[in-house]
Amino acid sequence: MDNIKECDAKLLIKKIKEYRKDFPARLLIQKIKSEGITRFENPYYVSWEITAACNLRCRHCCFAGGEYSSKSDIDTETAINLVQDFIDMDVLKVMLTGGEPFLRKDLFEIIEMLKSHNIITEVTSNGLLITDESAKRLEKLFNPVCDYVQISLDGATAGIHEDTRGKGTFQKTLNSIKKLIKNGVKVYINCVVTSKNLHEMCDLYNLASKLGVNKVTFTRVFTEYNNNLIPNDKELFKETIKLLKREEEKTPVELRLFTIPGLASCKAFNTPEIIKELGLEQVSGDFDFSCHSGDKLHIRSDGEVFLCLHASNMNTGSLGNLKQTGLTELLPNRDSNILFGKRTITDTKCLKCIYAKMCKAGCPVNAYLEYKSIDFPDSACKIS
Amino acid sequence: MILKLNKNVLKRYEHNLNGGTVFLFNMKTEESWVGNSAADCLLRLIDGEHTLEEIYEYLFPLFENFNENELREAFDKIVKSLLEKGFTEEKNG
Repeated sequence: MDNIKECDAKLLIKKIKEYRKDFPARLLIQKIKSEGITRFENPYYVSWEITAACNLRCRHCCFAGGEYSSKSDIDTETAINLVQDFIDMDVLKVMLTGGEPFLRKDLFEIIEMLKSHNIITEVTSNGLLITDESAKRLEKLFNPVCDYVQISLDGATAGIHEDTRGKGTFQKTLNSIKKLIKNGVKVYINCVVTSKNLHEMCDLYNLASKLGVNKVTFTRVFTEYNNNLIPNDKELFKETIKLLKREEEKTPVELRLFTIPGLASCKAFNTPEIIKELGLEQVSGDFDFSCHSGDKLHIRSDGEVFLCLHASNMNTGSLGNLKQTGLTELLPNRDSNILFGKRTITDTKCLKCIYAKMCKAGCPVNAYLEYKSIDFPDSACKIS
Repeated sequence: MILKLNKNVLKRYEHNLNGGTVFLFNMKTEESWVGNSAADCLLRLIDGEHTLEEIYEYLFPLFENFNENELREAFDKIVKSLLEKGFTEEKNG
C-alpha cells in the first residue's frame, strides 16, 4: 500500500471530498453554522433503535452482546411522545433501526407522525419482512426526495451473504428490494465489509446497478465483537480502488464508502500536491477537538438516550431513560456528560499530524475506553 | 384559507441565534427562507387543519405589546412571502 498511483489518489481525494454531501439538509446545516452556531441546542439527527427484536442473528451485528427481544422496548405511548419531542425540537432526520424495525407493530404509526412534519426518515432493515402491502404503505408515506429504506446485503452471491445472515436469506432480500423499487420506494443497500465478503465488493456494486437501487454504502465492521472479521487493509484498499474506478464508468448507482483505509499511514499518499488538495495541515492555536456539538442523539430500544451510537458502549454514556423522563427533560444532561465537554489534546502525535484537523483525534469514546479520558487520540489510530 | 408546509420543506429553529431565528429549506429547489421568532410561532401553528384566522386568534394574544392591526400587517407579510416562494401551500378542499 506504500505506492498509490496518482490516478488512484485522485479518485480517493474526490470521494473524501464528497463525504456527507448527500444529506438533503446539508446546505441548511451549513447555513446555520455560517451564522456562528457551533453547539446545537437541539439535535438535528437522531438514530433510534425502535426495537431489540430481530428475526436474524448476523455474526457481525453491532447489536451483538445485547438480547434480541422486544420485552424491554419502549411502548407506543412513549414512542409517540418521543416523536412529538422530535417535532418540537425541529429534528431534521430520524433513522429507524433495530433489531429489525418491521417487527415493531406501530412502525407505520411512527413513520406517519414523522412524515406529518416533514422529518427525513430512513428505515434500516434486513428486508425479509417486507411485503407488497408494506411497500405500498411506505410509498404513500415517504417523500421520494429524501426518504428511503436501507437494506442490508452482505454479498453478491447467496454463499457469501448467507454466511453472515443465514440460510435462505439472499433471494428473499433481493425480492424485497425489487418489491420496494416496484412500488416507488427509494432503496439504498448497505454492505458491512468483512474479511469474508471483501472480494465481492465490486460484484455487489454491479448487482446493485442491475437491481436499480439508488445508492450502495460500504461500511466497516464494528470491532468490539468481531476482531476475526476485520478485513486486511491492503486487500480492502485494492477493492476500494476497483470500486472507485467502476463508479467512474458512470453507473447510475451512487457509491458511498466508509472503508477508505490507512491513507494517513501510506507514504505515497502524502505528497505535497495531495496534502494541498485536501487542505491538510497541522492544527494551530486552541483547536477544538470536541466531537459532540449537540447535533445528534442515539436512542436505544430500552429507552436509554446517548450522544451517539458509540457512546452506548460506555457505562457513563447514558443521558437517562425515556421510560422515566421525556427527551426534553433529559437533554440538559448533555452538559454534564463527559463526551459533551471540550476535548483538549496535548498528545504531540496529534499536534504534529496533518490529519488532525480532518479527524479531530478520532472517536472520543475509543479514547475514553482505552485511557479513561477523552483528552487522548483514538486508540484505533494507526499513525505513529 | 388553510395553509400547510410544502412537503419538501424542512424547518429548523435556533433559539440562540439573534434572539431566535427560523430557517426553512426546500430540499428540491435548495432555496432557503429566514425569519424571526414570531415567524417560528406562526410556522408551528400551520398544520394543514386550522384556518389562518383561527391561527391569528390564537397567536395575537401572545404579543401583548402590539395592536391587532400591526400584528395582522406583520403576519400577513410573512404569510405572503411564504406562499409566493412556495414554502407553504394552500390546502385544497
